[in-house]
Amino acid sequence: MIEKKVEIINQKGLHARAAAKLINLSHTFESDILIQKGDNEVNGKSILGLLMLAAQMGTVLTIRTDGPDEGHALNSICELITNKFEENK
Amino acid sequence: MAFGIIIVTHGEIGSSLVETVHKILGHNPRLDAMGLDWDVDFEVAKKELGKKIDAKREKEGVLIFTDMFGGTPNNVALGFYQNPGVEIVSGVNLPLIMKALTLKEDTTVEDACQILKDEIQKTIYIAGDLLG
Repeated sequence: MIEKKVEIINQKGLHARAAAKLINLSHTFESDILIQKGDNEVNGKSILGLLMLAAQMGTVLTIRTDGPDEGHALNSICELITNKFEENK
Repeated sequence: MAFGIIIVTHGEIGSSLVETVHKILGHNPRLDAMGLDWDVDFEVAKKELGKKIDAKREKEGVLIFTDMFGGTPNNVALGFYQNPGVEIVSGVNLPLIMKALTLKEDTTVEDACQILKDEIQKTIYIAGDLLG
């Protein structure tokens, strides 16, 4: 298992469409993906889990990946978040 | 092939939910909505729903979401609850539909009902309880 911390920098945070993009990306990997905010850790392949984090701009998330493609998964997810989920703001 | 979903509600609740889900998750042809007018004829509504169920039956079963148990949309749907491959879940909301569409492709309509009931009852939060 590997992990990395990443800050949410888009204005709307991890909102519904952003969470949908994240789970679509997560589902392309075989590895298990866990996303943590504070004491809450959720499945990175569950949209309702991600939304439950209520992660707003400025939140630092810990991403954990575990499996055969964990490196690729971790980098891709962190990239999506640092690219503001491909949003303008 | 995954099951189809029909949302049966009073007025435009269902079509608004479908539109919103399409915006969030992208357009999904598995979803359909049927809104009942206040003066709707019960038998006419039942016939219309029957047609919609038949159209979705090409897929692996049909899951009907209704807005409220005991309301007319729910009662119209109940006319089909003994049909093979048709399940009815009341209390539709946005998380319920999103969860249903993001279940594993091979989830049966029967299994989906149980998963959704268990999951969705946990999606009503008092913000303070969650965020501290």
